[in-house]
Amino acid sequence: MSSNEKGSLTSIRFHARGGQGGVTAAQLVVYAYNGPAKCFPRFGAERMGSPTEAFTKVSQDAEAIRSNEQVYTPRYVCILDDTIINDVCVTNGLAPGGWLIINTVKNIDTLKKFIGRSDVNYALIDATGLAIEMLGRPITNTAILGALSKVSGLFSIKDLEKAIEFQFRGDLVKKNIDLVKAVYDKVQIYKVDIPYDSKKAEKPKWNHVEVEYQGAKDYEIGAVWYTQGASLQVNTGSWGAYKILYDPDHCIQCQKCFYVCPDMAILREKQSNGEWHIVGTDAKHCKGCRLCVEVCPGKDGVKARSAKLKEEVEF
Amino acid sequence: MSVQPMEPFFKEIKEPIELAMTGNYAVAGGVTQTDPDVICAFPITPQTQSVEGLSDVIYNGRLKAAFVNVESELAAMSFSTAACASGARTFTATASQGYMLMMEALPMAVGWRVPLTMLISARAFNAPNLSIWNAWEFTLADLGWNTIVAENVQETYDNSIISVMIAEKTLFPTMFVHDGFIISHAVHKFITLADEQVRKLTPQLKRHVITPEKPGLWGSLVTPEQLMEQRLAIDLAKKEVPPKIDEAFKEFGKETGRYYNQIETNKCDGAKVAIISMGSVCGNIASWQDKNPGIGLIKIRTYRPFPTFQLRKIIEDCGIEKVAIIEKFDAPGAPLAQVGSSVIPALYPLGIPIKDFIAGYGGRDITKDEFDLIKRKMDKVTGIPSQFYEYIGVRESKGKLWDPNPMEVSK
Repeated sequence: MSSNEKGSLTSIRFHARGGQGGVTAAQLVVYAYNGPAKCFPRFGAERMGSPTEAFTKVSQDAEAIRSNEQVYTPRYVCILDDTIINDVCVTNGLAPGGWLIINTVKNIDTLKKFIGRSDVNYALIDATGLAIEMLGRPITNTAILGALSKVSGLFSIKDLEKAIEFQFRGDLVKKNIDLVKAVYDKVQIYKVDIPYDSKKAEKPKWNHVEVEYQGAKDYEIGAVWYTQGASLQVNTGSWGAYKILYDPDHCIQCQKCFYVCPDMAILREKQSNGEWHIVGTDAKHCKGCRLCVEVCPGKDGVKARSAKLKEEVEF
Repeated sequence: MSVQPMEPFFKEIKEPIELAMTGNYAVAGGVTQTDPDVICAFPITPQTQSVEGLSDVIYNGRLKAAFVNVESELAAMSFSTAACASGARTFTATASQGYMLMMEALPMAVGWRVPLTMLISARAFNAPNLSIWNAWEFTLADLGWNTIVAENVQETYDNSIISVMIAEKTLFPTMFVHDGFIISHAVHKFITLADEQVRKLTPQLKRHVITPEKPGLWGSLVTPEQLMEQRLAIDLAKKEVPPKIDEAFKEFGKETGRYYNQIETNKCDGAKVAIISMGSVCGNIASWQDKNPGIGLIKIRTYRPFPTFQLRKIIEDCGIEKVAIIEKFDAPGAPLAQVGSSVIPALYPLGIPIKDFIAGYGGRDITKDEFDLIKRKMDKVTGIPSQFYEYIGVRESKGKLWDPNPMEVSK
């Protein structure tokens, strides 16, 4: 199934959230693959819940993966958390006939419609459900590899077992091996009748330079960057698991939450008498740390702030 | 539980084995095998895991070395130099601002001729904003350190051993460099040496140490009557380094089958244009060459001492007519950036067109787009260019790429 002829290179991209183990997944492919392989994360500061990417390149020919260039045209894209589809373009650089391997409970039609690609293959698996059942926690980095093994044929389940034995210790070894086997059996595959053509997987010219961003001559003085609200533009609200609710009836305007919030995500409004009053939560930037809930004294024994686990993300 | 990253090095390695590790951990493994006595470093991204890995092997009991925590890179370098001068095999590591903070103590290791080894996980300086990503800060100061550069994890692992050989053969401190993140945090497969092989390659040589049995001046005050002679003595000693580096490469090759050279070429035979560069980007260029015949790659492994005559000979022997340099550092106000200012004097007698391209500064990827553009630009270059260097792969303004010499290039 995979193209392993001399000189050819297969690359894989992993999308995950910080803490879900996307980098470990990329490494496990390196361990599992029989032949030259390398992997690297998208280099940056990974924080819990932020979207992360990791890449693996494999080939039977060491020269074919000599380049240390980043991966722009993956053939397989593994998505460890389907909420990421909202935040980043997961099909970036994916040529027709490539694969999207998604951890999801959604059905194929919903996903296809939302992603907007019907010229690629899909493999869907409820990896989170299986991981909770078999590992006791929602870590899906090994699970997704069971699906990758099945659709790509780059490495067998036996190879993956070896990699898991190398990476893990104690009872995690057997649990993870059982998990990848279960995923291998249960993954739902939706193939399209389009052969993968590596020539169509060309990196768009200069896309790594982000040509639409500001250039050297756009800076006012030297290279000092007069920009306001750089962090305002980042949707850090999508990183967290909790949504913070606010009930004005039990708020005594003590302002404790305002001072404790690490992300300045407590919304306030200036009143006609000059006082600032709390009015809600800035959902775009609240990471759901729940410190505000902890410090809230409330009124009549009821807190004005409460946390609720986010529901399934709607596409 | 996940495996501890340094586990393969917790016990004696009897036979060469294949491992898959990040560049930093691979270096920690290589350094472990060279059996240092003192490890003293201050953590800085992207070098941190190399020293972290060494603290793991020491904690595990595999390596009997003094692991010394200090308050800064300046202290790390001062401590390491002194430890090495007292006879201990010593390793330290740094990057970026840490290298700058060390600067004050860096010349002394050269002056005292101590065989200290240091990993540089190359990273940009912080100006005008902080960048933790790759650039070639190590090219900044010419203080007399030997400097060898790695393209991938195999090479940086090998360099961690070779640099001990070079340092102790030449009695000059030796730094070995890999590109921050691109190599330091990438997992590659590589083949280790057996511990016995490393012991054979890095025997404890007898050398000068600070001892009351032979009193001398180690860092005292000298008057104008003395210093110039001492500087000349260092310069003369430095001239003896290159053959010793060759000797180390040869010994290492004999033991492992991996033969290295101070300069390596790829597809230079019959090429009219050559790209000169160092480190991880050479892999990118080599892959691009497959589809772009007629352009050679010259990879500099020993950046210091700079292989001036060897480089000139290669260019002459291959009949190369034009040279492009790719480097990941700049020098505002200087006639040229650092690598360029070494290459151009080396090739000065040849009188051929040379152009220095600054790319990949601050971790930006260097891709076939850059190489294609360099190729087109070099096609247009006919004489000595009016500008020796230019930035490429950079935005001039929103939606527009910087190209200071559009007249030279038809797009």
